[in-house]
Amino acid sequence: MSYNLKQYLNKNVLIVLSEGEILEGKLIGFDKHLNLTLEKFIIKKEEEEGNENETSDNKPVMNIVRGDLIVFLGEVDTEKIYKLNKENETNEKYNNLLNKINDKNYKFYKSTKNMANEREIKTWMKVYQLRQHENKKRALDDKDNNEYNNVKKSKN
Amino acid sequence: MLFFSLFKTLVDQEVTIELKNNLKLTGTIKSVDQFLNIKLDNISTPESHLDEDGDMIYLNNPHFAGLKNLFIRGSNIRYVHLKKSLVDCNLLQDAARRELAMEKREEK
Repeated sequence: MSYNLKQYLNKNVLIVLSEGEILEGKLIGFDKHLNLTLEKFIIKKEEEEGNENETSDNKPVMNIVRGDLIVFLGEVDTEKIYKLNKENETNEKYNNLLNKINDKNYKFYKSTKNMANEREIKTWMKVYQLRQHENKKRALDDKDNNEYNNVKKSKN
Repeated sequence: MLFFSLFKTLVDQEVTIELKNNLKLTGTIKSVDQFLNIKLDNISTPESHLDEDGDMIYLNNPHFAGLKNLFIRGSNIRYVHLKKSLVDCNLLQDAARRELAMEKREEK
């Protein structure tokens, strides 16, 4: 019944969540819902360059990721990243990529949740207000009509 | 269970998986479980290419450069693109109908 994640245990993994956040950390446990426990993890989106080591010492040691948020996870090849970093220190294209990675607002992965964005919410607010306004108007018109009819009846 | 067995026959084959976050991944299937979670190796994306040293360059998702393999949660998969030779559609259709009939009989 459980997930076959034994090969990732006690290794550095990179996890992408359904809203596009990227986590990295050492996987120390999982269960049948794919909830994961991570040690010394880093949220790539929020972390600033240079103080990764400082903050991770002060942070809580263990963290739990809820299983249904996970899109995919992969084992990180630390040696390869080190090699890439060293090779491409002067490469302009690579530095651009690095800047993107360190940019808090840049999203590599789209959200898989069906959430409305801010613009959509504003549009629907407007629609709602218009509709309410129209309903009020209609109610007033009905009232007027009724009064008019009542007056007519009483005259008769 | 039918599609679980189908995917089990596809182990070590190359497929393209489209995720719900519009990410397209090509790779070889390493293993599948009953939730259709898929483990992929040799990952590439439509934008990726090999450089002179034989290293894969990923333009839009540089994180993949440092990954050995990938575990994809089944609930986030939208499509799995297969080669025509990998699956016999008629056979699959027949098997699906037979399984449905079996289930109905069991309900009665």
